Amino acid sequence: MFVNDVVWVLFWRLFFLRFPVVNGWSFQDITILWALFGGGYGVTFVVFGNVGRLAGMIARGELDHYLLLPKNVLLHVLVSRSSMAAWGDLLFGLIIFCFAGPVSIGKFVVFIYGVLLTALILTSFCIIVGSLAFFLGNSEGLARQLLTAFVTLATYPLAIFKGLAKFILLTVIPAGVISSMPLQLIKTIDPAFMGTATLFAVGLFLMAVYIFELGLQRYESGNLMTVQM
Amino acid sequence: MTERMAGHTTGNTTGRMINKSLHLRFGKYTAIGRISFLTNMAYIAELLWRTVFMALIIFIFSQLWAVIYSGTGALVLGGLTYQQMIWYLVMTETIALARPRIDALIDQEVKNGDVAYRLSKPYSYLLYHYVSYMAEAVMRLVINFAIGSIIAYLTAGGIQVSLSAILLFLPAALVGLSIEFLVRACIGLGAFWVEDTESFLNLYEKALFILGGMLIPLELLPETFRRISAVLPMNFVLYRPARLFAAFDVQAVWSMFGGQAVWLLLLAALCAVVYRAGVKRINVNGG
Repeated sequence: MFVNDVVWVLFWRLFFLRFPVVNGWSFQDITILWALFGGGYGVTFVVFGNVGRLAGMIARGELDHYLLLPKNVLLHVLVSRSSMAAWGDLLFGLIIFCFAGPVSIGKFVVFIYGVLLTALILTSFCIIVGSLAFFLGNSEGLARQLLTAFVTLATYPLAIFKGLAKFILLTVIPAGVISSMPLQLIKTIDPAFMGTATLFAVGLFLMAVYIFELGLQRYESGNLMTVQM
Repeated sequence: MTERMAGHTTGNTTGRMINKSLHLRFGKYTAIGRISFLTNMAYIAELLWRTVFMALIIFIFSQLWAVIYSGTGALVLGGLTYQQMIWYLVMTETIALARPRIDALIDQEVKNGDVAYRLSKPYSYLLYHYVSYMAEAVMRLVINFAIGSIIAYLTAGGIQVSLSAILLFLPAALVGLSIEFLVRACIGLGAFWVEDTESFLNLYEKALFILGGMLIPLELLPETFRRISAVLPMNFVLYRPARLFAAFDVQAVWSMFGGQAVWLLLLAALCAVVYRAGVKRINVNGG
């Protein structure tokens, strides 16, 4: 949501006015991070609006309608809804990036690539935590908490974490891959990082699809009468 | 002697009548509060689950402040040591996460007409909601306080807290939550005039976030923001009670409670005016 994102950037502005550099991070870096995350979050929930509701839909047995149609179930479920509020995040990402220092065409292209990578990582994470409902039953609350944790952790500088926390952020809750982007993808275009991040995002997505397909075999119909609008 | 006895008997009768009248007047609110408290007790697991978010925020900010304190080499920032800063954060989060969404409930009752149904009941609409709000808020506050203190102790270690600080923090937090209730009630009652009150709440929440000192104490904000915050109620909801706990200062006690009392009265008056104006717009068409 646009206003929410603006207030967070204002918060960081006030923070960095007092402490100009935090472990190598400046206000410009945190602005780029918010631009990337806002854009990625926007793309995810505009295109795949149901991704945050997956656990609840599985638990309530609402996948019946999609299973009857000759389309890819996961893709059909995800694109069946679009979030209006997420347009605000997407717009915010694009606008704030233009205020985060000098912008060239090359940098803008890399930024868009970073937004798409962020969206792919976020979508994959949401599919994985949503698919937990196939195995755990009603895990809507757990999925929401994990998504909140991901969103929260992805919007702070990775440089403040160390040891086990940093390891978790780069593996179990891969929010650290997103928060690494401002320094390693946008400010200094690091091809090695770009390749690794791309491989990671694609790998995570394939894993998410596999977990969903695996879980779908355990799916039980809710015998619900639903109307698709 | 007889006169004295008669006076004593009359005094007893009057006392009983006053007691009965008070019981009739306020007993129902005690019952409403008790019911709300017991209802929320049934969902205690969910309340505990919510503290996970508080733990996450405290963990992130303990890391962030550790970097700041070590990076600047300062022992005290904004009048707080590292340990005090984390305890300050825990207290702001303790209060912030104890606030029930009363605005959404009032908003819904106004929109779907339930407010008209409640008007026929022998209680004040606003007092009814205040009591049930506070019963839930108190429960959340106690849970957040207990779990938040454990998290703060594990992440930053203990701080020296006087008994006065603990005893004064709780009423300060409760008055802060009452101020919060009045703001939220006014926003919810806005549904008498506008379709969507959510946007007003969002604006208030964002103001509380910065000007209420939710994540950083007001001393670390620029002068302009501190001045704006000083004339708004947000700092009496989070910043002042939390600051009182983390770095107790006798001088700040009276100005805090004084300011809270002024805002409580002003907002209660505003809430009553908004409610009366809103109720006049209700049309009951049988049914």
